[in-house]
Amino acid sequence: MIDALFSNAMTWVHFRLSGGLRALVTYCIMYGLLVGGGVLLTISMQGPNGQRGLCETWAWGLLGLQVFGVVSWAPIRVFSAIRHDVTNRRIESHRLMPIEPVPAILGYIFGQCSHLAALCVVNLVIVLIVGSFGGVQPILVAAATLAMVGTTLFLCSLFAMLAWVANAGVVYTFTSIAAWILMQGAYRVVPGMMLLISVQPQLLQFQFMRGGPNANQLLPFVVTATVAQLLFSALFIRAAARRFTSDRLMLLTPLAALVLLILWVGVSAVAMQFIAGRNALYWNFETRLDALAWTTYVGLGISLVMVLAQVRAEADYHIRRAIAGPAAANLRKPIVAFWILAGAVAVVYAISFADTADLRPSQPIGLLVVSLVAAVAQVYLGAKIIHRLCKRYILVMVLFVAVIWIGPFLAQLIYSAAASTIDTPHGQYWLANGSVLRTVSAIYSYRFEHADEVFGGVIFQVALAVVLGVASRLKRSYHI
Amino acid sequence: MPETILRVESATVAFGPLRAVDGVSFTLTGGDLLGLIGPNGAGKTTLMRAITGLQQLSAGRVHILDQLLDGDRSILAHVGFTPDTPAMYDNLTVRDFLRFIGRGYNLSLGEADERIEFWLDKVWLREKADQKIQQLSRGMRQRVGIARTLLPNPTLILLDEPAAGLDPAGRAQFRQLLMNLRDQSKALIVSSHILADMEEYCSHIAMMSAGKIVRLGTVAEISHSSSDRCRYTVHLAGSLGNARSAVLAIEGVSQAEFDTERFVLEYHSGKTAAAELLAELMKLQLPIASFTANTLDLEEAYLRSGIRQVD
Repeated sequence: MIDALFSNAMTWVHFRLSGGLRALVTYCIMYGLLVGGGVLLTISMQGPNGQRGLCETWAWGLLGLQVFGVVSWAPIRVFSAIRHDVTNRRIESHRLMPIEPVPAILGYIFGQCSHLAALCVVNLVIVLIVGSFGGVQPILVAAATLAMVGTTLFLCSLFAMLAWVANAGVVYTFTSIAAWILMQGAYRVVPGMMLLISVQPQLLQFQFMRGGPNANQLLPFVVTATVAQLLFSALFIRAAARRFTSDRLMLLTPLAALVLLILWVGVSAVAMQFIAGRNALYWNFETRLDALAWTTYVGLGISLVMVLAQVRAEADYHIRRAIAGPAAANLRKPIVAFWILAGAVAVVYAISFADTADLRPSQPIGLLVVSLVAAVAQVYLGAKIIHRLCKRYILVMVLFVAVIWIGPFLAQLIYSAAASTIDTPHGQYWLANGSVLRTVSAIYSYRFEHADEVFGGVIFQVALAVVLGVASRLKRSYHI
Repeated sequence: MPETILRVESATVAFGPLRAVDGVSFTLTGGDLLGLIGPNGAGKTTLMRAITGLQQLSAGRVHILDQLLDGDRSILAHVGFTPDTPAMYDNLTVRDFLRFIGRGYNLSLGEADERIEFWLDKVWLREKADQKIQQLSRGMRQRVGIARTLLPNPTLILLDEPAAGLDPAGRAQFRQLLMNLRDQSKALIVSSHILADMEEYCSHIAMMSAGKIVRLGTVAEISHSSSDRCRYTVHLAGSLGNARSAVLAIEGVSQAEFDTERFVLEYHSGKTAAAELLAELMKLQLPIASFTANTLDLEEAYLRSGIRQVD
């Protein structure tokens, strides 16, 4: 099978572009020595009583690092590889070759991820060895790895499809919004994702993998979710393969993908209700309602963003056609459609945010909408600048993570501090007990009771969006 | 009878109201080398892209080796296309890039390596084989692009501005290469603005303007298609003075271009006509230093065709 994989021209070339065999062996040896040495050093420094606990901590830590690294890095590599081939017109050379499109897309995924996969194998060996001294059950490591592989393939294939129809700004925005929504509760709905996507490790993957009372009950759902992810991966790969063959629009396939995606989220929600109803787990009634609400928002948000990507592709197509001739008037309709949909996404995002912050219609919703449209613009334009500034994938990834997870928090803190709202008991409570974004929600909630104070923050957001927009333009004009 | 390799029937490519290619039809058999000439924006590149399936046809059909080019792309394995700026993986070495192409065309490793060595020799790239493509000059990249096109041994070869980055020695070598390919009964289409070279290696010429083929024929047919007229260049020992209107008044003179001490005009062709024109000019008492009847070549034929640059 490995031979068949590497006889695929696309796998071979992307493996070579990633550094080839020499780089793979070097990375693995370096990583093994570095991490293995670190583990041995810390264990030898620990007294005999704490060694077991330290081994367990190392095992879960390394597994968490692997999950985070692979899930966040691999899709970006695949997206960038395809996008570069499209924008540099190498794809036209590929299209003349007798390469089957589906293996070609798999070639992008496996070729770009082969070095990461090798590092994962080294990491897993270390985890299993260290975990065996820390009492970690290998079955749980296997379950977490299975979920990681399924989710990674799912995200890689999704990004492989989006790479044909969207630019980096759209995809990063999509990912940012999805990650933001997922972090606020929706991860509870999808078992596969529940393991992987969270900034609260003590509440999620680590608790599950430590073999809590409900761990074994969750295993079937991990398998189900992984299978569902594989099915979706097949669908996305097929959609991407259609684009590999031809530049023609692929309206029907993404629509089918969307329907399935919504069904998936719906089924997951029912499954969640079933689990919560029978086993209670750690979900209370409020959390379930929260999760169900987010299920709707996730489905709606992802649908709209994917439709947005499709409209964007159509706009690109019409622009290309119009540029070749004097029919500049053709530009108007797709661009108008694009911005109407962009507005729709922003509104949905605003409504969902309002729900989290327990905002009611009596609150100043107009201010909220302006604020959140500006937030979307910030993420979009910030992602574009990052994409243009960074030539190295690693920098893109680091900054990308910063934009998603750290950026909003810091931004909120800055103008929250300015409004002195962080000192309120409400804000302090959530800062101490909740997630970062819960804190932000709480701050929003408090601040909407004091709209005058909030006004300064909104102005700040709009100003930041404008600055980013100007910077984006400058970057384009002067090739900074 | 040579095998028909390419048949283009009423091929049309429209971008909105603009017809980049407008009802083009022609046929190529083995050993034909068709030169596409025309101003920028005439539709040469779009026509080539349509033949390779990279550009969707708005109307018309393309048959390659008697197989209609449509959803089934397997026939494209017999087609080689070098765009004006070939796209490559800059971080790969020349050899690795060609190995990738060999894999893409399902060549075995041994066969691919054998062909790579052959084409590296042919395009003078052997010494650069293990250099990264990003380190190569434009001309050398062009050579890699040509090697990439020829590696899978295609039957139909399309080259868009292939000699644009080549040095004089490279151009001479490239001309020889094209003639060898003609001898191997391949069908070729070459787009270029270097008409002197095209006259040497093309068997047929198609002049394109505004998406249409306005003239199509053998090189000799195109070069002599306006053979009743000829351009004459006259150099003067002094200034033309006020004789411009008198020159234009000579019966049969047209399309005259005047400089201070030189003018070019069109008149009937042939030795007798040349003698008549010279006699008429002498009557005007111009200080004629030299009088030359320009050779009838492809460039002359193109310049006299009246095809204008697209705005």
